[in-house]
Amino acid sequence: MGAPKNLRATVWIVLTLGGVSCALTLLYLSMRAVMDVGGVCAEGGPFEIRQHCPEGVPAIMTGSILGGIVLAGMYLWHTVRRGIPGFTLLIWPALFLSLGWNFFEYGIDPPGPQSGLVAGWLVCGGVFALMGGLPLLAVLPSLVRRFTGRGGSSNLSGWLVGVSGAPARRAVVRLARSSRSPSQAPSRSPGIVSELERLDGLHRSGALDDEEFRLAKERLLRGEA
Amino acid sequence: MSSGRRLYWLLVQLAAIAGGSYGAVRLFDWATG
Repeated sequence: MGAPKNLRATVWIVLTLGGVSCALTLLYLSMRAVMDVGGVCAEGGPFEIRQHCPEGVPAIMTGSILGGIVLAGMYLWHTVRRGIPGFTLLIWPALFLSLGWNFFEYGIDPPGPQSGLVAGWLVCGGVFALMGGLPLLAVLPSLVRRFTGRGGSSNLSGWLVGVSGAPARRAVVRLARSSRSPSQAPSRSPGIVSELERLDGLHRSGALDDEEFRLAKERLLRGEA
Repeated sequence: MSSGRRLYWLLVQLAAIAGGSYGAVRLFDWATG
């Protein structure tokens, strides 16, 4: 990977993941602000409002939800396209565990004149803890493998069905070797074009990094010569 | 992907998460006055 390409990838990853992190934190803080005024508030509409929302919080909540979804999609796109091990699978657990923490904290020690445990919030906290904790347990081993290089894949097929990048690499090497057979020389050109296209696809998906792509392509082209 | 590159991306992303969280706290304080 060249320096400019690496820099561009770094900027995209920092902006998108930083944005997702910002959105999650804003949502966490906004929820706390609403719970500080009793957990229910309203703005706008032709009604008499008993409890107004804290200033700025409705806009922050709306913006952080919509912005977070868009930025998470962009972050996923960049990690998969560039074959970068990412934290996409942690976004869901981070969202539900952080909001679940708020439910637990405020359920145990409610604000204002309320006293004692708030059963409704504690139940919500339990549900959110399960919704965040179970997926976290499921994705953690794969995430550790991805960052330690012990299997796992950064491409989309790897994320979705757990296919390692290694079989794809082996397939490419087999393709490159088979293309060297002299007896197949006259009919090889169309095959090589399609194999180059496959290589390019594997490179774009992240199954092959730049160096692996270059080596496989050289092998393929040497076989043609 | 080499171990050096994996470490590079891990550190870059941890820095992004830390920066995003810090920015969010500052932004929230500013927006809610």
